[in-house]
Amino acid sequence: MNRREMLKYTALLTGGAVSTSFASVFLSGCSRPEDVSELHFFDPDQFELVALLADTILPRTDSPSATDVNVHYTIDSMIGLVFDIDFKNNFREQWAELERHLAGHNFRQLDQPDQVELLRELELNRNSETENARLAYMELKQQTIAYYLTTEEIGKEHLNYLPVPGDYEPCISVDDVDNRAWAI
Amino acid sequence: MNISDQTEFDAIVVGSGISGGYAAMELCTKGYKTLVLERGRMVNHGDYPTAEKDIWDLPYQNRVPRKEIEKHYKKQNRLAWWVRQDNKHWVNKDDEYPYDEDVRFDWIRGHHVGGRSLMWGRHCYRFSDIDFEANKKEGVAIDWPIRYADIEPWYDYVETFVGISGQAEGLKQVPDGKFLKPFPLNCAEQHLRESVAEKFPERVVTPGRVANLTEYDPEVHKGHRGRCVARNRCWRGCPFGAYFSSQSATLPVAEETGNLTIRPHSIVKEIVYDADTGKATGVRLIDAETREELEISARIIFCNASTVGTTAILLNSRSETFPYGLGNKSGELGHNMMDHHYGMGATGILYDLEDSYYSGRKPVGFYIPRFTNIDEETKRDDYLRGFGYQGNARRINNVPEGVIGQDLKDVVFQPGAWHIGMTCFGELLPYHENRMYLNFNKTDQYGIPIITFDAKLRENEEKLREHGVQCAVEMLEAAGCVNITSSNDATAVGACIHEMGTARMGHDPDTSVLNRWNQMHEVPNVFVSDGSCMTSAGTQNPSITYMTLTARAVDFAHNQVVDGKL
Repeated sequence: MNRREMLKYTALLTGGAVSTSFASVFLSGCSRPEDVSELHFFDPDQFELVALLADTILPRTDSPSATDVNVHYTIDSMIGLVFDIDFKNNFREQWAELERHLAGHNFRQLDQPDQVELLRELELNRNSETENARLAYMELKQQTIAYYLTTEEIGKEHLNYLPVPGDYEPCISVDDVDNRAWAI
Repeated sequence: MNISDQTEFDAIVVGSGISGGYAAMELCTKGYKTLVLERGRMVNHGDYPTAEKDIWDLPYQNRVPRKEIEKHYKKQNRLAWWVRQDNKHWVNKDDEYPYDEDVRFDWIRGHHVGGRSLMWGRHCYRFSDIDFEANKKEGVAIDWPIRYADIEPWYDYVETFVGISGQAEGLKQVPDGKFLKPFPLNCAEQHLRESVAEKFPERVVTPGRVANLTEYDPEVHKGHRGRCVARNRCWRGCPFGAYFSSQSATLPVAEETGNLTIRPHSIVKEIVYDADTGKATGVRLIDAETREELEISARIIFCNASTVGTTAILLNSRSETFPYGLGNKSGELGHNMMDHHYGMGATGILYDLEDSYYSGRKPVGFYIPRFTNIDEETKRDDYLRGFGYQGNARRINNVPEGVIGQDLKDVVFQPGAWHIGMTCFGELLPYHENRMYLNFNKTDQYGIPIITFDAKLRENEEKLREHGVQCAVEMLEAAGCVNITSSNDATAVGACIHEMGTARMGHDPDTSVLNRWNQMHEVPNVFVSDGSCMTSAGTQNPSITYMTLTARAVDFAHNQVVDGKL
């Protein structure tokens, strides 16, 4: 949210009365969005697979797909640049197993319903042979959903976005908010 | 706020955080020309660069990249939840603020005007006589020189100004205060409260008591305050002034008197002692920008540089009279380091109350005050003292197992199941062996000896922890939670950011540094009213007690001046 939007929401809340001293405290620069132009963990071929997995988990419907909102780039930069080395190394091993597992089932060539089915099976039918592949997949799934729900487009257009709530109400019915989760 | 070259004041306050700001306000209000010295940079109310950023405005999901952590925040980042994009402007860089450890010690800090009052947890619970009497009853360390009745009116005084939201419960272990209306428990938290009360009547799940204004009265909440609008971004700095900080409350009130001067970038090296008068004459400081050393004098000195900062200054203030640090004939200065310890608790999922939700983001969840060793009925054989919990209930992302694709898209925007979590905070006893000291053979970039820590948890804490985790699980079970997971990963001392006790109060100059008025036994015009004054740690979040003792100490100092004794 930028300064102008913040003031707009605050003005709504206070019935339009925003003091100049209040307005003056919103004098800050914008943070630069992270650089998504290069890859930090996956190679281009792996990255294509990550994108396919992300869109299999969250395909485009009447709302955007995971890659429509750049979730795959976030996954790459979080694993490549942010999470600690142990996590990164551990994930690298598990990812190799996932790649092998998917290649063994020609995942990339399957129709979408079969892709969904293959991933469902991997998640639900646990066995020791596919355990590492499953862990890598669960990690990707979890990250895909988390990053998807924290993008601006999803937050503002598909969830309930209330930047300056004003009041706290401890118990409301989900119907009061159309059974939509809060964006933030 | 003025920045001047003046070198003489009525009073000097070292530190501008939660207790330093309070000392400054009280001194200025009583007419003392007061200089506040702060080693870090200036921060004015409103200098909160991330306050309006949403998660998508913050790079890397609000996380800080590994390389930057490695370079600047390795120690600070030991707290997995601490260094983030939205608050790192308040976090000290390790490479600029070195310290040593004989035993791991997580010294979590931010040096800037306002100090940790900007990013504190804001929980405020009164100490009770269960705390003030514990050392004496159990023969641990030394007796507190005060009791609840001594400071009760001062709690009233400070809480009224600070503005504490909370719910009166009539509990002897955390006495009720001057509360604004609470942030109510949400449906799942209320369910937890009722289920726990039914099974464990002595355990009370109550709305956390926090220094956020649920009601705003401009006549009372002076400074740059305003009502909380439930954004839950307090630690970034609040443009609404809805939570209490030096910036939002004490410093503007101090400034309005015309008596305040604030000098950032001022690293106090030592307090200067005059053996002839038996008093301190002022402080010697290094200007962090010019590296110039200068001396500033005052009639009264309040040391509020934080527990570790204050103790380091006093240990470095060596003279013929006090070769081991100012006012340290007892030898206790630097010892009895305490904190609270955590890294223990439990979480669970509640598949119930699916129709219930909440609106707004309250800046607090629930609190469960200590419930063991508070009387004969609750006495434990395996450990002394007790523990309390902070926690919350919220609805998490809706991600049913094995569901992806179109099916997941159909449900992923809905609120998911209730998640209830609680973290246990335990008391750490005052062990003489737990200490900090200065390494005079090694100095920092300003030529000041390096602070070194040597403190750890011991057997009493280990025993207490086991019970704390067990009780957390029991309470979640009572509420009907499933998928309960518990943890017990003991934190290093310091990690709770409640470090305290290294210049303790006591009856006797032979065993303590400060008297019952936070005045140095041996140097009557030096007062210490930050966490270093504490004689035991309690289980309560301590800031409100520091502020209370500070206001009381200033009042005492003022009376001494009026009586011609100072």
